Parts: sequence; structure tokens; C-alpha cells
Amino acid sequence: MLENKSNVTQVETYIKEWIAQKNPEVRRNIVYNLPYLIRVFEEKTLLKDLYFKATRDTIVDVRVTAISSFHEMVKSFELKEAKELFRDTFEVILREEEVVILEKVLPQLPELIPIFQPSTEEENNTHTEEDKEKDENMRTKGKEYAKWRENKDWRDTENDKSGQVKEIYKGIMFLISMIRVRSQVQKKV
Amino acid sequence: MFDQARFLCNDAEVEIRRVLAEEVLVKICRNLGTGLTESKYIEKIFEFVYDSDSGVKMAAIDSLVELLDVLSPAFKRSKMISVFFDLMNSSNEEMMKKMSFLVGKIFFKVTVKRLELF
Repeated sequence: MLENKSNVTQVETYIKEWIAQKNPEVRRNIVYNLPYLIRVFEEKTLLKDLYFKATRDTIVDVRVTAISSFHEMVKSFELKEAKELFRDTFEVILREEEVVILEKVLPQLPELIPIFQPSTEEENNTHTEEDKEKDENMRTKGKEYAKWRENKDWRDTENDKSGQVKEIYKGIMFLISMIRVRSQVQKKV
Repeated sequence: MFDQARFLCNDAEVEIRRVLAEEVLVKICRNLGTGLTESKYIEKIFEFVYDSDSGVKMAAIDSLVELLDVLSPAFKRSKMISVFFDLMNSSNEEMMKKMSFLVGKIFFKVTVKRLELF
């Protein structure tokens, strides 16, 4: 970890300046580096906040860069900490509508869904009713997705011999259904 | 031959300086090892970092990052960090693009092995 406080502060200042730059290339570059930086910074809150901001950037390219490395960011933390720190970010990512971003999210889902669903009954009990409902939806969808990945029989080998197109399509449909479920939950609340 | 390369670093021709900054000095340093790189050659790359030509400057920055593997922790602590901070401090847009792209690699390399630099 970075230990000299003044040097750390200086690096943080540069990072903050770059992420606030109007030029999207500078923002994209620094977002690309966040997974490296978060490993060497002892104080991770700033980088986590900047990452969250980047997932809501107005420029699609910046969001693509941020979301492409989401699973790497999450894996830099212990499971419980990751869940607390990145739950909001995961929510934002699930609401993405850009296809280019959905394509980046999809391959990460098998790793992400188990992280962001409650792992124990006790943990589940500490959540609010809203959280529980969200988690239940996510858990159900996660199971459906896992089942779908295991089941190869659905592939239409006549029209899509490799099964690749259908696999991608079905994955995206799953993601969209998740987003819809989330929106419905929010409307109810 | 290596001295000849050092002599060429002062050449007025931009293309020659650019090739030296981009390829030649890194190869020489990698072959000569830590001691000679720190005592003789790294200074030349420092000069290129502040070259009037932007291409030479950018190539030299890449070379400095590459050479972080060759340099000793003490040298990185005493010399390299201040050079990188100086470059990061620039408000030039091209430099910001460059340094924002390299920052992860730089700090990953300088903090590796029990992260003794900072």
C-alpha cells in the first residue's frame, strides 16, 4: 500500500483533477487505471466514489471503460466489504440501456450475482423490506441464469450452429428483465 | 558504442532523438543493468522528457516507465517520483492524456515488492 501520506495526497489530487477534466479521453484514461490504483491505495473510499461517478458519466465510452472492469474492482475487496461498497454501483449498472455496455456487463454476471445477493439468512434479516425484495428478485434471476448456462439443450442448432448468437441474445434478455424487475420494485416503493 | 549513443542524444535532428528516446536507450539500459543506467544513461532520458519536441518527450516518458523495472528502489524514491509528479502537474492536455493513461502502471511498478517506495 502507499504509505507516505503527502505523496498519497498528491496522487489523489491529480486523480481528482483528471476525473474532473472536460476532455473525455483523460477521464477514460484515469477510469481505466482505477483497478490498478485501488490495489495500491490504502484509503479506497475516494477511488470507489470516483468509480461510481464514472459509471454515470455522460460519455458512453467512459462508462464502457468503467463497467468493463467492474468485476476487477469488486474483487479487490473482501466479499462483505465489496458488497457494501459496490451495491449502489451494481444497481446503476443494471439499469444501463446502452447495448455496448450491456455486452460488457453480461460476461461478468456469473461472478457478480453471487456477490450481490445475500449469502446467509442472518444477513438477509438485517436488510429492509425493499432490500429483501430486490435480493429475492436478483436471487431468482441469478438461479435462472445459472440454470440457463448449464442447459445447452435450448440451442437451435439448425439456424445458429455455434449457439453463440442465441446465447448472447438470451443473456441480454435476462439482463433487461432484471432491469425491468428493478424498475417495478422502485415504482412500488 | 554506448558512448556514441550518448553523444547522439544531443543531436539537432528530432528523428534521431526520437529513436533514441523510444528504443535505443531502453535497450542499452536493460543490457547494462541498474548501476550504469542510474549513473550514466537515465540522465539522458530525463533530458528527453523535457525536450522541445513533443514526440521525443512522449517517447521518453514511456521509456522511463519501462525502465522502472531496472532501477533500484532508492533511486526511484530519490529521483523518479519527483520527475513523475512534475509531469503529472502539467496542465498541457497532451501531457494529461499521457500521464492519466500511465498513472496506474507507474504506481503499480513503484510500489511493487513490499511497496517500499512510498
